[in-house]
Amino acid sequence: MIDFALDDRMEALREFLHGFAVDELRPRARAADVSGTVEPEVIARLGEMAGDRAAIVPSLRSDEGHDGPRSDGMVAVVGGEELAWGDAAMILNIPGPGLVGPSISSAGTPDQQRRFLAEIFDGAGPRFGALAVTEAQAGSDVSNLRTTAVRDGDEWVLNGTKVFCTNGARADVLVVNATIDPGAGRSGQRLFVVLKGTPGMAVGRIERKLGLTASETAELVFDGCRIPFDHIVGGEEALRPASGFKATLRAFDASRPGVAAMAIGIGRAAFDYVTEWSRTEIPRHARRRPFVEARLAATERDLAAARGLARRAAWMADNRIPNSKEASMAKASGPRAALRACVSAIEIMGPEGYSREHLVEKWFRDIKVYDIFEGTGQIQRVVIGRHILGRLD
Amino acid sequence: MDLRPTEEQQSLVEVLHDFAASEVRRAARACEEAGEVAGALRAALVEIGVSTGVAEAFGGQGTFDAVTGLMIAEELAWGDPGVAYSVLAPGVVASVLQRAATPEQQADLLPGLAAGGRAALALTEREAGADIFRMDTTADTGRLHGVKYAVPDPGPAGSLIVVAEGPSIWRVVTGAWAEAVAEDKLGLRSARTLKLGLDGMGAEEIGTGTDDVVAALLAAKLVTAGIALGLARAAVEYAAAYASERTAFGRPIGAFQGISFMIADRATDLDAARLLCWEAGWALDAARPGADRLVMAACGQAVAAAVAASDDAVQVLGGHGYMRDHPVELWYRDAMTLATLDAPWLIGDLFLAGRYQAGGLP
Repeated sequence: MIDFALDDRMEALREFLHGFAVDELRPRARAADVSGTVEPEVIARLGEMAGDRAAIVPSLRSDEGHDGPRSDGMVAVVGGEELAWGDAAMILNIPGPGLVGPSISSAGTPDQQRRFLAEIFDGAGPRFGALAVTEAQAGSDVSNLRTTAVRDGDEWVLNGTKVFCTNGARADVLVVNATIDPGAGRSGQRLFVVLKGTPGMAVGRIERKLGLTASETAELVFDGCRIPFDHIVGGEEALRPASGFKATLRAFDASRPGVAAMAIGIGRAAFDYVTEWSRTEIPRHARRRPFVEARLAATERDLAAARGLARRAAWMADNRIPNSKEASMAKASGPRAALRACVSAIEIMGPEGYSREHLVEKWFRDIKVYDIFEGTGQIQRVVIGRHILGRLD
Repeated sequence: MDLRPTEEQQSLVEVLHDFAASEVRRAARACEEAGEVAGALRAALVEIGVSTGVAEAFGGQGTFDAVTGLMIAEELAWGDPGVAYSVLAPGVVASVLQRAATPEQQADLLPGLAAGGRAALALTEREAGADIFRMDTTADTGRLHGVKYAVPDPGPAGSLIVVAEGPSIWRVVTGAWAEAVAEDKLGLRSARTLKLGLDGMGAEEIGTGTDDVVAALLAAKLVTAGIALGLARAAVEYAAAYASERTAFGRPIGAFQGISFMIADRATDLDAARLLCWEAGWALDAARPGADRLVMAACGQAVAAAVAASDDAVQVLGGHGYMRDHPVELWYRDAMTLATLDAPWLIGDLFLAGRYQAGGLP
């Protein structure tokens, strides 16, 4: 039966995370943006506080092994929106599995889920996961990825260079996309787990960016990097030719709704901020009122519609309904709606909008990458188009 | 959260879709040219018994919740938006009565509607559009004063329900329809609609300003949103099918991203609008706080999706889309007409804007 209510657990999570965003993230947003870093003690504190949510929702791990409905997809969209509302760069500094979660939980064997997620959850101090796919010459065009994995006895040997990897330098567990058959294009691609400190892996440059400046974006160089054979995500099953790029795509199907929700959180931050600003300022600038009201109303509609797409995609994933098209719809629309929200906020506020006294200029910088990473808006449209039209080319 | 329709909803949608695909699509052009829905088509829908939801106590087959109402409107409008606008009019009135009228008024009017009787809700005005919170029509001591547009013609024997300031809902009991003029419109031409002068009509109050009245009128607005969804879906599907077949430069035109991205975007808009409409209907039936804002936002997104989808569908078909051999030009006209008579951007956004002002609701 059609029902849009979030269950009590999820409402409690949302309230908790909103409070967390208000108290812990938003106040640190500007300082982190300016310095481009977050202090280790803050990271540790974020990790401890985020750990408290285990009391409210079961973590990823407690969902494993069940065939019934899961909740991690909905946790990601409901939680992602609240946290990104607080600050999108800060949340990438909250210790946790990051994109390793969806990669391993959607494609890994039960044993891999236990072992590798334990590396993150059970280690001493703040621990991070990271997913490395993009290379300098290939983003959306995955068939052009060149990092190789060659089997040598009971080991894999990785060679290649990955770029734009969020938390790549600090990651305790890396999931790396590499090809086991360079001539095979997409179908040769597999995912591999590389643990921190593995010889043959080195951190290259740390990027300087337009936005999300306080988030670490790293280059990773693999030069004869040897990992155990059973670090191929999916285990022996993943060696079958048909397995192909599906594991990576499944990981993205699982993560895109949460990324869309984070974008919506940034858009909502700008919307809430400029709505509050308008309440006090517009009486003094009455000429702007019709423009302001029209922009705000359109923004409210846009964000509400995009939120529906993100929640639907997450609900489908949690109920094990294939959601590739719907996840792409969420990812294609959320960041655009949020960008429009940020543009409107700046335009409504005028010179105060571009001033660094307010956070809207930061949100405008932060939001842009959401239409690029995790699959650009354009590649999402390719996916949606193929679902509707079939493969025509 | 759960997005699975009930089995009942699924079978209802299947039955209606079959009917829309066979009967409504086939009759659509003829109805448009005649300027009204063919009697046989209307009778066939009454026979199916789903266009007007009336409680069993009043001789009907049961009422529909708002979400089911959206699904019904979408399927019929997928067949033809004008036909849907016309044949759903008695159902809109039945829904309004069951949410807002007294038991006596219900007992008086609903059995006739259950039996296939005609009725219409007179809502749209020149200044207010379909803004239920800014109606200019007055009803002092039961004498109506005002002019309504886009009123589905209820026929000489039909009941007329009028929305006036308050918002208030009135049932016309006396007075000739001397000032009724059939509208000659851009689109929705298969729905015969009236510009209706109300002056001199006598009316009986159904309700004023209560939560039930507001909810009844919001539910009525959602039906228009449902029609917009059906229109948008028809246009997206038609354009997608055409793009898979038509070739240019040696390939189906859908292989070019200039075309496939348009279709992907319109399909995404449509899904987003439908989810928002369902959420609004769910919130309305569950009497959730903020349901009114959701309805206003949903109506705006649905009509925007319809306008964009029909525009792009004509574009995808190119010159062929401009010709009356294909239905996309009809949907293009219907969408703009639907957008204008309900004016959801203006109204919904004015409503939403109220809370942005100093002292507005949080």
